[in-house]
Amino acid sequence: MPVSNLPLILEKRYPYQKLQGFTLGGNKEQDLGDDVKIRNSWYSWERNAIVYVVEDGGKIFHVTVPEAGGKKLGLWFNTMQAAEAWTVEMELRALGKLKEMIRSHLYNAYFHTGTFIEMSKKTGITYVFRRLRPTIALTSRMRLGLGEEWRDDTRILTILCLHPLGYYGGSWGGVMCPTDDVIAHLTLMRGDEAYFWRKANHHPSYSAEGGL
Amino acid sequence: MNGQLDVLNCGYGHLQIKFDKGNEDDADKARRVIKDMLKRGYCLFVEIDGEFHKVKAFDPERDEYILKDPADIEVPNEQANPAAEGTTPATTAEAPTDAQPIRRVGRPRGPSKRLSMRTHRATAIGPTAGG
Repeated sequence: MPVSNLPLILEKRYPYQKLQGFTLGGNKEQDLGDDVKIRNSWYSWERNAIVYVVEDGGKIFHVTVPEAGGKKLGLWFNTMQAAEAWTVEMELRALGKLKEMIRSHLYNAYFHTGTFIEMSKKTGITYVFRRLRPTIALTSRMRLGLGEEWRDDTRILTILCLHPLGYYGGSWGGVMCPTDDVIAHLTLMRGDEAYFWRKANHHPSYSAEGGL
Repeated sequence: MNGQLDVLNCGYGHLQIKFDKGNEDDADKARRVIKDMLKRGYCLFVEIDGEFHKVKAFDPERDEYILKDPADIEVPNEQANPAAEGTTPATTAEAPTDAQPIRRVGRPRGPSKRLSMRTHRATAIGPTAGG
């Protein structure tokens, strides 16, 4: 299925070759020249998009790039392509190892939904481990500022993305099978949580890469 | 209890090395793999009662994972000579006397913790490529 503003690049042996290079809605991106400079950029909650202020030959204008829709669908399909690097056998073996690491009801949740939750004993941060998505770090206590009282309120601290050995750009897939990536996240969180935070890429909750 | 080493990997999935009594081939393979992995920046974690502890070094002579800084192992006399601790120029302005307690800074160092490769389960994770 083609996506907005993203050319669909298929591997030569992949089916549906008639869609090779097709872009839904046409390519609406401006042709950026060498004199183009991005002066500033920020996320707009109202538009759910990244707004870029661009300068081109003295002329200043803005460009809006949505974080939803085509961008997320592009990640989905890129991830589907990355599945060619994995086999069912390696995923089953990884599932066997994960089953030994977590409790049965959590494994049941992961097997059916691709998600399970664990709270760190050291920091109290709650981690949502997901198959083929970055790990969400939640806190259940927060305060508005220094001197304020702590209150019970769940919020997302960050979204941690980390792939040992390698990953496929533009996708959520790593070179290891999906459950091996989850095992890596879980093991790092349990064994060296600071290292996990230090080495992972931190995606904001509004970004398409965050997978929310 | 037999030990096991799981190495998360691509290709055919994670590598499993199990240590059976009398099978020195697996032990030799594990020694090479562990030394190579630590050299390449892999993280190794040993599981003890459901908790994971990071491996700092590996002793191939005794087939033991070392869970603390190797520097602690090389200077065992520091524990027998407490007057030698904390006497760096940044921490003391003058030589300690019997009436003045020695000010210790930093995490207290204890004996290194060693675990046998053959009886514990470990997981190895490759260096991260980001995400």
